Amino acid sequence: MDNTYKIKLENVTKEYDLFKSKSDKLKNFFNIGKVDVPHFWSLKGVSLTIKKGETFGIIGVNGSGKSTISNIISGIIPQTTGMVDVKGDTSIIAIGAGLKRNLTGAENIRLKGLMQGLTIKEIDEVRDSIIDFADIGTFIDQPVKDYSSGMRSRLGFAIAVHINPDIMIIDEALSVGDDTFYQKCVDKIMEFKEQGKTILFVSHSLNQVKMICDRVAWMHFGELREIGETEEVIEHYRKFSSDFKKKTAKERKKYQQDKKKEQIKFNIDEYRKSLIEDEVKKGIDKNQAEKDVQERMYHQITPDKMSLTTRIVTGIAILGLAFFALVNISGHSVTNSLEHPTTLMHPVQHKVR
Amino acid sequence: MNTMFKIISDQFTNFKIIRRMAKYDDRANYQSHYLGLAWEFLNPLIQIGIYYLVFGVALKRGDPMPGVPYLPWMVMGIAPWLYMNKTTLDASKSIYQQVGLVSKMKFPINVLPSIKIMGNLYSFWTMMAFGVFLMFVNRIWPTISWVQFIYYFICMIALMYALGIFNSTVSVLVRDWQIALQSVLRMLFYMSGVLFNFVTSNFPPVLVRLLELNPFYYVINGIRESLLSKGWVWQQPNLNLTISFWLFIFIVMIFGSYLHNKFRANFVDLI
Repeated sequence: MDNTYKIKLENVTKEYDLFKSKSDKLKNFFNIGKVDVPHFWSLKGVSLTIKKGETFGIIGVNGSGKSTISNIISGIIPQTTGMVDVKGDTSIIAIGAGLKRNLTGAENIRLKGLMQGLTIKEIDEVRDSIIDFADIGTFIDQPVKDYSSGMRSRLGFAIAVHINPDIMIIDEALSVGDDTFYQKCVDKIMEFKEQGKTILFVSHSLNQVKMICDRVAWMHFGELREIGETEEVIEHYRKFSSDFKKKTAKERKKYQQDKKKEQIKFNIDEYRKSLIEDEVKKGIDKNQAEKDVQERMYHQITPDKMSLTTRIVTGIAILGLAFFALVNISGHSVTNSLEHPTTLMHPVQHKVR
Repeated sequence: MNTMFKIISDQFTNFKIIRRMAKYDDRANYQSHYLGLAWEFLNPLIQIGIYYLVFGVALKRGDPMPGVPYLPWMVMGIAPWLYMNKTTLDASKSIYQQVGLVSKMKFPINVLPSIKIMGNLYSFWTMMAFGVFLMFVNRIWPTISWVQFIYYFICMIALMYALGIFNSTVSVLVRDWQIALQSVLRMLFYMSGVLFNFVTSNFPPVLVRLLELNPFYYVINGIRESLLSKGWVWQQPNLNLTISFWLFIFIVMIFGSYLHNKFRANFVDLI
């Protein structure tokens, strides 16, 4: 097996349930009745490999699944099916920055550092350099809710780059800062690049992507439309955009709606069948292909329902608990209760001990 | 079941993070208070004072366990109770409180209850030390029975985590859970034999045997019996109760980890 990759996705899909009301959500939660809700497939089977030391860009229109991919890679959300293999620690920088609003900047630095597994000592070492990088000066002891949005995202970015991850995922985080900060970030990214770190860069801005990335993937309504050298993919994407802009508003709307409909209609079983067919075409035995695909799609997924063994063991445990509780309440001995279960219903009225 | 083992092993692999964050949590909580951490101990001491006046002095009715005065007996029970009460409530809030933060970074969400369990231990140890001090004042000395404390301590942590993972998940989904839990705990306070020993009281024997099944009572009574050298785990009724206790933990843990796993991805959307 090829060991040079850092991130590998195979046939990854992600499904979201579109609940209409809060009660539907709760019904689903408690497994009461079957709530038939539409499913939306944010990713319809994506496979890609990112090599070590590569700067990889992801582009695409709004809602094409870019953020979903970056969240899955960083381990924030689990995929619905497919294999995800990430070698090393990830650090994600998103617009929200994930700061606690009522803590001060300094407290946020400490909290985030701790959550990423740093020791207090390590945090104190990078603290000054974070404050310097984020350029927030005396505001560091103010609650984050008083920060401007630019300061907040600068702090978020500064923390994320200073905890020294192997893999850095930047999800549209550069679009908020001003030019000076942007330049600083780019310098930092270049520094990371030189250190041979892997960077995943999600952005709308084609110029940024062009400047930074080695390779680019173009996501299009849940599918990987194209993957390849930066120049090439960006050119195709530009062409698509300009063609799309030339269409009338009505046509554009219709196109988007059709694509969304496809994402709702997407059927996971059909997808599995098509994968098996692909394998068979490659000359692999059908049974073997079925097994392979099953393994690839579901091996990493913890099943949505309890397995049969779990159910049986849980059932036995509940019965056992009921039995011992009754034995204790009735005041009979365990052996007596086993021999004459009916006595459980006739508790001893006096003290037994 | 695999999910359950996975979650349990996560607690051990992330032990360092839990310890550091528990420390930080403690400090951050009391940062804006003049007396700071002292409140963690002042608060329970005031409570103990009131209960002693009401139940020990005003309603005096003899020793709750043969040969043990009321005050050390009560402190030995109220220390684990206060710990468990606070931890159960804190742990059930733990995911809800941090969801904004953990949804933006890679972090094992299932350790959040553990951080509260760990953090509250500091005041638990102080209270226990106070209880032991009162024991010595009353000339009750340690015996071999003290080793059982280790076992009951493990029971306590297991109970806290099982309830923690279950309650924290359910609280995210159903906000009322938190309030309901508070009421239940307030009721359990009087049902767990913290302030008076219902085994030696005038309660009907059937009711006493029903109340014994309460897992909180199992831990509180166990800690008392082991430190005051009044009984062993394998003696009845402890044996029955031990089996029931662990079956209860197992069931809560199974459902808790199942729900936690199922809804982990949706925590952010569910609020």
